[in-house]
Amino acid sequence: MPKTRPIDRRRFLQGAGVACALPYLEAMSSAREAARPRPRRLCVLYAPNGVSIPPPEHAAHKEWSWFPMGKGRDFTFTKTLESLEPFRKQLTVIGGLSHPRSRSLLGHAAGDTFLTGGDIGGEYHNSISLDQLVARQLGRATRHACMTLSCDGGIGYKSRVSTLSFSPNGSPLPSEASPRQIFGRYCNAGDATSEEDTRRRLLEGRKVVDLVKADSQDLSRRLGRDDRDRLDEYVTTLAEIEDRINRAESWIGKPMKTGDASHLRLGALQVNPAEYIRTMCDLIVLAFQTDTTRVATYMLAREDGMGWGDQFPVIALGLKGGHHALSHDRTEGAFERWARYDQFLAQQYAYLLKRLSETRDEHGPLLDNTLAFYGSACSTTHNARNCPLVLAGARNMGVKHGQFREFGESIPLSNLYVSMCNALEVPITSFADSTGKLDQIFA
Amino acid sequence: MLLAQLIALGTLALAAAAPSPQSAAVKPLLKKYCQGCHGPSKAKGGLRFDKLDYDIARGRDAEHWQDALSNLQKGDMPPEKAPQPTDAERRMLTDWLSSGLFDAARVQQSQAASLLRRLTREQYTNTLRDLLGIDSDYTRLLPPESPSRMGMQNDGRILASSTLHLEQTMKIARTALDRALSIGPPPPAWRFRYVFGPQQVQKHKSVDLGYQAQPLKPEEFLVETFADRGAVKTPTLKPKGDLRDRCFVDLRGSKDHDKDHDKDHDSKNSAARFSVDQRGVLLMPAKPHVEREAQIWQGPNPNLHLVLRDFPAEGAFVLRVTVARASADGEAPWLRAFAGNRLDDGMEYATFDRPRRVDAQPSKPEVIEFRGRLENLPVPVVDPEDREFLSNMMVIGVWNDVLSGKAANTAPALIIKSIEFEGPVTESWPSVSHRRIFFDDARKAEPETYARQILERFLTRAFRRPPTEVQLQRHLAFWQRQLKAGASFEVAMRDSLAAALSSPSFLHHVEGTRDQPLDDYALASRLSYFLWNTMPDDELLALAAEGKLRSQLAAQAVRLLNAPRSRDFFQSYTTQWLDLGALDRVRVDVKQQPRYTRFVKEDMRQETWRFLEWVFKENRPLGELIDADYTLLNGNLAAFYGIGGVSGPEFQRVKLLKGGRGGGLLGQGSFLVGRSTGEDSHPIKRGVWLAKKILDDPPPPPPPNVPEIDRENPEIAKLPVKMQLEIHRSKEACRECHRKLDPWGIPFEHFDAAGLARTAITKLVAGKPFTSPVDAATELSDGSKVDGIDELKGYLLRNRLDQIRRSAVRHLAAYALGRTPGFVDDQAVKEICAATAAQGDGLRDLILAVIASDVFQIK
Repeated sequence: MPKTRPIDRRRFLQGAGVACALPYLEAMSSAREAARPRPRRLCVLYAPNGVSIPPPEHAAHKEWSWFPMGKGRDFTFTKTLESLEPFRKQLTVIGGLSHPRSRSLLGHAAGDTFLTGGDIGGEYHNSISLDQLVARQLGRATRHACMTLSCDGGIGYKSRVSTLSFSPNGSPLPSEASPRQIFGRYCNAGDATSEEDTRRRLLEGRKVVDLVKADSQDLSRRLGRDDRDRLDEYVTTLAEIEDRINRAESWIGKPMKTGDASHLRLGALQVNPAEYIRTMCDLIVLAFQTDTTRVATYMLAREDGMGWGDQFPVIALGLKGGHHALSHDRTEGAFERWARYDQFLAQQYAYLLKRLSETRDEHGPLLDNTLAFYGSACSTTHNARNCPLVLAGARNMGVKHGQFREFGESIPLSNLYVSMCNALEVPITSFADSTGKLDQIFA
Repeated sequence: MLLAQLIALGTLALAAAAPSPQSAAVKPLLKKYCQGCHGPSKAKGGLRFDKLDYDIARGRDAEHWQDALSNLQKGDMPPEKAPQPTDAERRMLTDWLSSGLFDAARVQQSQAASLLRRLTREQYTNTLRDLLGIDSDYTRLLPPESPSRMGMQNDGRILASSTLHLEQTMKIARTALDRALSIGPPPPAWRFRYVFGPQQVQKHKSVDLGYQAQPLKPEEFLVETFADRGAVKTPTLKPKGDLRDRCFVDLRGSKDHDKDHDKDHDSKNSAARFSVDQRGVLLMPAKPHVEREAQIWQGPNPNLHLVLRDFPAEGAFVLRVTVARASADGEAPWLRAFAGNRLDDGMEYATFDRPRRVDAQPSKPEVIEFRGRLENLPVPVVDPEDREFLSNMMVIGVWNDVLSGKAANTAPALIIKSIEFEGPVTESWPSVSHRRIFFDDARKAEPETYARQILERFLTRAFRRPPTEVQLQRHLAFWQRQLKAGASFEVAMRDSLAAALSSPSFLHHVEGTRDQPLDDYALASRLSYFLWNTMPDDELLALAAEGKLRSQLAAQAVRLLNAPRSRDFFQSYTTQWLDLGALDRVRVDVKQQPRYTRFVKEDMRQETWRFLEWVFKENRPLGELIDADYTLLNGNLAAFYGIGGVSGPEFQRVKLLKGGRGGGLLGQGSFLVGRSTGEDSHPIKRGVWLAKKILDDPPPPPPPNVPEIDRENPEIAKLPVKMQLEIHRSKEACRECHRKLDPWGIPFEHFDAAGLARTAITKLVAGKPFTSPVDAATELSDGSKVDGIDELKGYLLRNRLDQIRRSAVRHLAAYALGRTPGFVDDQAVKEICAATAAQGDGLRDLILAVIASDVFQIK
């Protein structure tokens, strides 16, 4: 069992209701900016340890099953997801999907592959995560390519990571957990020293690009036509890197777009789960609103009783034992106790959807241009099949909402990811072990 | 001669400009006999004769016409049941096709040139290793290459540059130079020694290291640290920051008696798998874990590993193990070292260095050193912010590499007295690799001159040819700018060398202009990347500089082949040609095959490339690819195959008995497992592999939406596989191709999904086991009947040796040239085949014939 940490170390001054002074520059959001194409965004929330699904013969089934009763458009939320009712027409509950290569894992390790579909069943071979693939493209337009959040920060360790994001070669990418630091990094234009560092780093990159560009021109003169064509491919790639440097440079010193930070509680701590999770969600909303980034992942807690999040049910709801213990409890009333925490988490997700739908940018409510995805890698205890998933928002991206869809095991979860990418205009035809797309959810 | 060729080419190009008058005459024939299946209504295999370019010589469809000719000549097309052309018509078609293709070969000769292509990620990492003298593996940081139709990853038409690729190489360049150079003070070193056995000093914590943990008790070991490379410091274990929170020993997952899976277990003759006494830790031969959760994450049983919470992030390290045999006589034990990270259910690990036989007598332990680099192993990426106790735990240790798993009293056991970890190891400071770049020279005093010398030497090696004066000036100017910006001489140089590693001349094979003989530098590179998969060494570059390489090409090729480095070629080439990656794509059902472990899989891979290494280096005849009376095995794989008398982890040549498992590629596990479903054999996959890889007669890709055999249907599942295939073939869409393909796969039916011999096939039908006898008899498309693998081998050697030779040449040429040989290379391929056959079909001669050919020496 992991030790619980002393709280003092993390107890910052709770800056309740501090209005964060963001430079308000109306001129910046001029007609020119409004004419930009509609941004497309992705946000993923992950909950560990699976969900409570009392079997059909169990008395608690109808009330406390995570999945709704009924199917298709004709479904009813149980108590667990009832907080999502206001968004019923803007979301789809998805059942039956999972990553085939993770199905036989000891449940918790499937958290490592939730967004990757990687192969870690035998030897550990993880691969790029959905958000990172998307960020490579969507991130070109923004100051930050992506935002990786979690309850514990860092990467944890393989098999029990504390991040949802993985690099192209399958290495976990560090996540951030402190609202104040996240705000500082993503929602501030940056101080002079760090700007100077960035500028210097970019200048070094530019010098290298200039040198090898000259080398290429030189080499090109000595080549035959076919080879020159091949070298052009390299030169084009080089130009893309130069372009990235230019874009990164152009952000230096540029003021932030306006956003409403007045409600942020940057002192929120994990000891107050609802406030902490909502503040993290607020930060995502703010980053989207200011178009600081278009891609965010947030691991609500780590798998298997690791880290802070395990104690959330205890602190927030007074349930006995941590989240992991709840998921293993087989005593009287256990399904309901576990489900009450699922309900709590769903409420936080509902809060995110509410904030995304209330907050607008020049293209309307953020939610209409955001795929807001929620899920866990396990259904019941240690069972990495039939992942509980909700896909919400993105009205403008052709999602067929308002349904509860169940799929067979012959369809890998990665198929959904292919369709999500396509909706985000990331033109891929396959992802990890996908076998196609999931047309049933996307127009 | 070359000039004459060029002139001839020019005239022919002119002559061929007018379309052949015969086209008009053959069109109706093709319409009559071919278009029914390959036309607007059907387009089988994606081919439509009404859409082909009838100007064979200058058009774009020469490859298709080549296929058409070959099918016509083989009698494969039109298919038997379809109307056949008369002899006269057949001759007319053949003549038209042959003459058109003959012209096309001349006209399109220039397309045969290899293209400018970037280094593959293997070539890139090997080149950095040899350029900088640091053996870091960067392949994992780069996106993988996709293979060409022939399986090659170095095909110039497929290798693409991408932003991700270039970004990564730019980052790697900087890291690689930082690792090679000694700028600033030497990095701090970690050095711990764990001494095993009952101890007096007792303050270690007993900690729970997780599921199935088996930690040594605090009183069973002692950890010593060292004063900076000096004397042993006896630990006091008192002040904070002491060793208690940082150092543990675990045998996680190891069990005294593994009742569930240990068939060797019998109470009379068994001993504990491990134990601790005055001598140290006793380790019995390790038993590989079953590839099933949760054993899968525990490593072989037993394994002894240090658990470190404080270790260097990267660099060279050494693991010193003080070890002896447990008993004075009997079979010798072997020691294998591994490192990795703690997972919650076990560990992720990889072995490093080679296994060592332990000969030291019980009374005289010896110290065996294992060396590696941390960044090449799956050690944790340390996150200093992460204070979770179980995060950032590195494991490093050993097991007894006699993988029989026997825990009997007579089994070759090891006694581990102590294990010492030291890293990063800096043998000297500045390092050898640093001094190679910043070499000693009298003109060091004049920075400008010295910098120019450094750059000239480095760029010549990095670009595999001397830089032009303009290039040199440009890179020197870069260095000067860095210097002016305030960097020291060395730092400015590091930046400038790192920049050079992003230059197109470093990242690409630059081979000059088409139709020209390669210059000596390009030839040196081609030879070196062919036979070593890395940059040319000093000797090759020196010969190139003197212009002497061409005249010594054969001798140099033999030198390269004989050097240990040629292993990089054999591993890489075998993997690509025979698609050994298939082994990783198939997950063998361990419920049926509990003995199929990752060690067996790895050894199967090794068996194949070591076999090829042997037959090529020893100039064995071509036919041995198909059949030989030997193979290369180690103890583990031999035991899996059921072949006795082989022990130890090292591969050795093993004579095979008649009537048993035969030699040659076709009986090897890498192929049989790689082309199975994981639960059963897959005759179609095996047939396709044989057709593609061995006979170079690949089937066209299957049409979209082909119906699979419905194995879920119990009526079908019950049928022998041959009948299933016949049902499959009765579907019109499948018949033509599978009529030719399926028979190639049937003779392997004597081998199951794990590559083991079988006489009956048992499978689950609707949940119940259902057994049927093996039927491996088939009729090939030419009417020959073969039953089983031995008859198939006989048939191939008697009837298909020419085709096999041609396949071996074309695959080798594809790899050597970095392009897929086209029909324009047919003449060259024929000449290479003829030269090889004339010399007795030796496989080394085959390599030399490829190198001697114009296709290799002219771009």
